[in-house]
Amino acid sequence: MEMKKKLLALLTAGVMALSMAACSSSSAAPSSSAAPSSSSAPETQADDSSEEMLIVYMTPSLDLPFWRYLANGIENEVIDSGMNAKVQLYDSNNSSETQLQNAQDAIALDPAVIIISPTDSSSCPAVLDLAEEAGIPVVIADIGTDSGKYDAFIITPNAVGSQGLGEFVMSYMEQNNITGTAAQITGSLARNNIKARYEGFNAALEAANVELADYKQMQNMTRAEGESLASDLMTANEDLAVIFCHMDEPTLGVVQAVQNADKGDSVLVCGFDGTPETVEKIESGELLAAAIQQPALMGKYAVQCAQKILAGETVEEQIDVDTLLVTKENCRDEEIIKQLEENVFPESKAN
Amino acid sequence: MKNENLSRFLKLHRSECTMLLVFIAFYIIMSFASPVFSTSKNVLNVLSQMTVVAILAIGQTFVIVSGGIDLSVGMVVCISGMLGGMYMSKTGNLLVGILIVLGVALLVGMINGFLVGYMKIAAFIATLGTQSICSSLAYVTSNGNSAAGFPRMLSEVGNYRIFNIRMYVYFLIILYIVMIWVMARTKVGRFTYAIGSNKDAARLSGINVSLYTMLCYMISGLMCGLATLVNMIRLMSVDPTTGTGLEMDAIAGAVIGGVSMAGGRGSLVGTFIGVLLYTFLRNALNLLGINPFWQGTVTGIVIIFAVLAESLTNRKNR
Repeated sequence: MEMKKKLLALLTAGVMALSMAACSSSSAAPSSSAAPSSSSAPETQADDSSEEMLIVYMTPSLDLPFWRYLANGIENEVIDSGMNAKVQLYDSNNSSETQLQNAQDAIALDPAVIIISPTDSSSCPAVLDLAEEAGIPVVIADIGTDSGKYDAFIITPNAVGSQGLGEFVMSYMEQNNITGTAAQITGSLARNNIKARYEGFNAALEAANVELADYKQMQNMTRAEGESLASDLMTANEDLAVIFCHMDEPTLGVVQAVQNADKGDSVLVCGFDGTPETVEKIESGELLAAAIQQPALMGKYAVQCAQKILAGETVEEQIDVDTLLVTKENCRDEEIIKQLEENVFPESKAN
Repeated sequence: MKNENLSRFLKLHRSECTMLLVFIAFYIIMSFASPVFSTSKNVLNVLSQMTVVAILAIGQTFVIVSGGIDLSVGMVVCISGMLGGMYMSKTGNLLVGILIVLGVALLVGMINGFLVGYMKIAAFIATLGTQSICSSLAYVTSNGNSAAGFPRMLSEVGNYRIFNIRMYVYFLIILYIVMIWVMARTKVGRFTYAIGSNKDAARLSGINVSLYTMLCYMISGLMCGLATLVNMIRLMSVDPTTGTGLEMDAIAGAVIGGVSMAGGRGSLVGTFIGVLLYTFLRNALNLLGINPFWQGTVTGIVIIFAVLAESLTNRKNR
């Protein structure tokens, strides 16, 4: 009986160690630590003689394509620039508690630099304090922070992007004699970048004398949520002519809702951010246009900042990365396609 | 004589001993796999990381042993932190803010307990309802904003270190000692086991089942309040998504530690080991640099194996 119990205990521990070893061999980063048996495990990346540098990227959540592309941008730039570094991803799962725990774990590994996209600008200072205490430089990629010490901040001017998008939609309406009201499906308006998108688009509406009939805040930012909010908006507002949705996945849900309601001709949809599917929808005309941020370019700049900081050079405290306005007219241009593939949704070169 | 005592002890605390062995084996293997795993800095990190979930798991253990479940704890952390936090940052009054946190959490626990104990609503449904209400109210009261800018004293006192260990970790250990005593030695604890093992038998033997069921949920509520305070000390901010998923971490910790979902069996010692193992596991995955996409698979496998090991050893023993 006792024997069996011990065996089971050992088995469980063995399964843990094995599954971890199995997973680490398929992890995104080229690591040499994957030992398939628990007995030959005492060898890790930290002991490597070549002194590979560790770059930590803390992402709010890998379920939004945007953050995956930013991570790809970081990994690809590390590979392209020939840096002797390993990128380790930490997923905060949209939780500031997980973010702080991950930061503690990451700092225990003594990384050369931390790149962070915070879950929320109010949760970032707790992480910055830990990094400052440990003397590790920090580059913030998007979102921003309420306070605390960091070395560089890379951001998209959201208001400029959504205003440009709004102006394009307004001129399209004028040219095609479309009239009616507009609605927005926003992210959390507590976030500065979302507020900027909201206000930028409204500025374009005001200039064209188009009324904002309503706006809805999303909570889960999923395709399903975009679909249901859009169908409710169309039901409630007979004269709705434009829906602007703030994020990539839900925008595709909005497109679906408009198609389901057979309103493809009367309701124009435009979005912020994009995936390859977004571009397909623009090409087919179901989506009028999108202001697309360049997450991979943000990741690339973050790594370049990190390199400068590590070399002791000074960096600009804030770096702006503009959005691309993608429409049916320009979505087949070689220049746009190249930018989309390199700076917006690149494949990861890490695997 | 001594030997007899030992074997009785082992029989009574079989699942705790199993999990302790698993934990020790895991710890030894990981110490070889990662050079930083067993450093004192990392161990202290893990202790501070586990505090919030470990406190929640105390309440969860009471509730599960009584035959119920409390799905609202994560969102109670959210709403109590939001209300207390907004008050603190507006007025700068730390003491009243703390009382609001504890009061709100206790109130929700009381409502849960009333619904389950007196209204006889299934615990899963009642606490799912309060979970949804708390989450929604957190958005309503904050208008979707996060609360920050609490009095600095909160962080200064809470994070104060003695022997490099933070105050809230000492608090966690004291709290566990007190609650282990409550569960094992007081009427509340004994009645909780009795209700969870057989509700009808408990009623027939004269236990006020409704009242003591409600008390379990109130303990869970109070623990939420305490966990919220630790969370606020750690983050110095509360946003409307704060606490998401914490209920599942607390349940997982308790179950890994040998608390039976069927009620009537389990202990806080087991729960502590369970949360410790769960937190160390997550920490180990991070230290080994395992792709975040894979981490859920690993934790899922470990939860299933842990419970399987526990249930097999117990089944053989019956």
